Amino acid sequence: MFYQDIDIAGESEEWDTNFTSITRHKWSPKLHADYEVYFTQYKANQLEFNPINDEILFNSDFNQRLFRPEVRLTYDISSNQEMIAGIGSNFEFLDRNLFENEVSFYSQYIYAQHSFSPLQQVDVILGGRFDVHSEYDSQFSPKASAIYKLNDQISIKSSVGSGFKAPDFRQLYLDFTNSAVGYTVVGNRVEEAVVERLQNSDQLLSLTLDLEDLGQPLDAESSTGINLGLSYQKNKFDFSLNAFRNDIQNLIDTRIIARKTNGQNVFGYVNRDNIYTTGAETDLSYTFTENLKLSVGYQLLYAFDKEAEDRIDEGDVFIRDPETLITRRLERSDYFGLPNRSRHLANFKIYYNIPEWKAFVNLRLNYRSKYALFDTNGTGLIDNYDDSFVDGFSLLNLTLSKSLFKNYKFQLVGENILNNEQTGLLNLPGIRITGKIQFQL
Amino acid sequence: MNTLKFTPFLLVMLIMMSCSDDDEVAPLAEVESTTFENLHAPQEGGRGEPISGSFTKFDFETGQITDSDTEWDIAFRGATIAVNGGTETGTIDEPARTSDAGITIVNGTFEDVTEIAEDTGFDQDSQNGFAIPTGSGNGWYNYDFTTNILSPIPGKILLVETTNANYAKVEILSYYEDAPSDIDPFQDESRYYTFRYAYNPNERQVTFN
Repeated sequence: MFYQDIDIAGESEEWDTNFTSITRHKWSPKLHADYEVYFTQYKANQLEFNPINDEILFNSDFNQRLFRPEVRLTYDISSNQEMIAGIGSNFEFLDRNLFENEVSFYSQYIYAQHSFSPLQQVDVILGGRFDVHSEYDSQFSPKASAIYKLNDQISIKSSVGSGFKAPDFRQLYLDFTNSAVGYTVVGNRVEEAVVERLQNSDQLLSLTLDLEDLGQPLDAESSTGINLGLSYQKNKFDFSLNAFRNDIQNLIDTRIIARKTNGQNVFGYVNRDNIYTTGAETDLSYTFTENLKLSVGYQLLYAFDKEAEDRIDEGDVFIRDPETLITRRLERSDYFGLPNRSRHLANFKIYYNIPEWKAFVNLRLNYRSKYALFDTNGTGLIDNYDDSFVDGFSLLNLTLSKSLFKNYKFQLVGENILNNEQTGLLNLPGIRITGKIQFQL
Repeated sequence: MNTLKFTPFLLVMLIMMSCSDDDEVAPLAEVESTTFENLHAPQEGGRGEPISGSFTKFDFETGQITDSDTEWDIAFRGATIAVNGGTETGTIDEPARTSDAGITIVNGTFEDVTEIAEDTGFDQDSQNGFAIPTGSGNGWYNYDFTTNILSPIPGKILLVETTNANYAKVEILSYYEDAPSDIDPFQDESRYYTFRYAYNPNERQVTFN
């Protein structure tokens, strides 16, 4: 239990359940069918009550279920040629005690891909997928990728493709406050109602956007992406480098809609019309022994809104120099990019396995460079003159895991174990320790 | 016949000389470019009560605040700007419009506006409201209700056709006393305009160079 305020106490719980079953049916040596059934459930319950008289102030049950049957046919044409085709359907249901009716979405998809080797060192995959959704427009998404094996160590990989993503129920209907940290996540269609409720219970410090901007309809996201990568593998050494460019229409992105009195934020979802992300990522790992592995990763990211760039190029964006108070045109170099995106991300991991104890230790250091939360100077974009930048910081996480008996696994996860307390706009939750028990059949 | 031919020639000479005389008497006056600091524009009422209080009137010709009922160009009360042209809007304590002045907002930097473009349309106050619309994001300012700071929108330049049919361009720099760079809305007094302007005192001259 976590007391957010002297007036309101709260409890919240989240559950994730997943179930997968695959049955394979061999029709002939060359043709087989997979019948797959996937079920997932996400439940979030939240209770807020007055700690003095235990009067219940707010009680929310969010129960989302997805059921997905799929049939997949695989046909081995020859030793280096294969066809895969599949058809499936998503049945999504949402129960919320705050709604009168259950909400449901239905979507169907069909896909096919052909993999073959036109040359001995080249593997090519061509594929396509067609999505039909009960709430959103249908979309065809083609994809092509190729791998060229230069030699045993080096291979070059490239791919082009498009994608489609409809908003899910969480992005539309969730209303959840994490009781351990205190932030709130709000689905698009309930933004206005939740903001009103939080305002009425004095949990909001301020809104970060106009009231009329809340709850603007969320569209499905579509994207096209290009990747070019290189990987090198020799003995205990593994290296990969990948450059990417993604152009996304209606990116479903989180945004901060309000600041709370407890120092945390209320997050909502928004479509970002016409954006692109480009950059590169690299991973390097070295396996000392079977039980000790080290890895380093780095990502360079540029994420910009094309419409914001056009406005800057047309000279329509002005800023006032805070010192001289003189107005000047914003330049491309002043444009930082999308909110909540760091230019640099880096991580460092050590994995150490102790077989005689049936245990392992996993230490992860994550760094992200500075990023901005929202526009503060009315330019409608994040520029270097905004006041909402969070300085770069690192977090150290540690996982201890031990297997017991035959089927049990106990895990202790410590997040932010150096207790890095960012000051200013971002309140990091401090050290968090979670215990997990896993049972395998 | 000789004398008859001579007369028109003399007349022409006289007219030309008088023209050049006039030019020397009234050379073009220079464009006045300056910053006016802390124009106090108090108001009463607000927060549910009707807003009242007299407007602080400004005259570009003298570059000063004025009490004159007729010789003023623009006037300020709180974040509202009135122009001496058109008709009364209907708000309490507003000055009578006695002239044909006009005002409009263009996008750009102060330096961008080198002259009044030919197609510039000047607006006047009317029963439908002020020529410069009030409200956050509608006219010259934004009000940030998270910080409670009122700030002039960067890139909004006011163009004024004055009561004397002259032209001025205005950029409002601050709404707080002494134009602090880091505004504390609970410490710094608001309703103090600091603005820079350029005024061409020559009638109907449209340039600001």
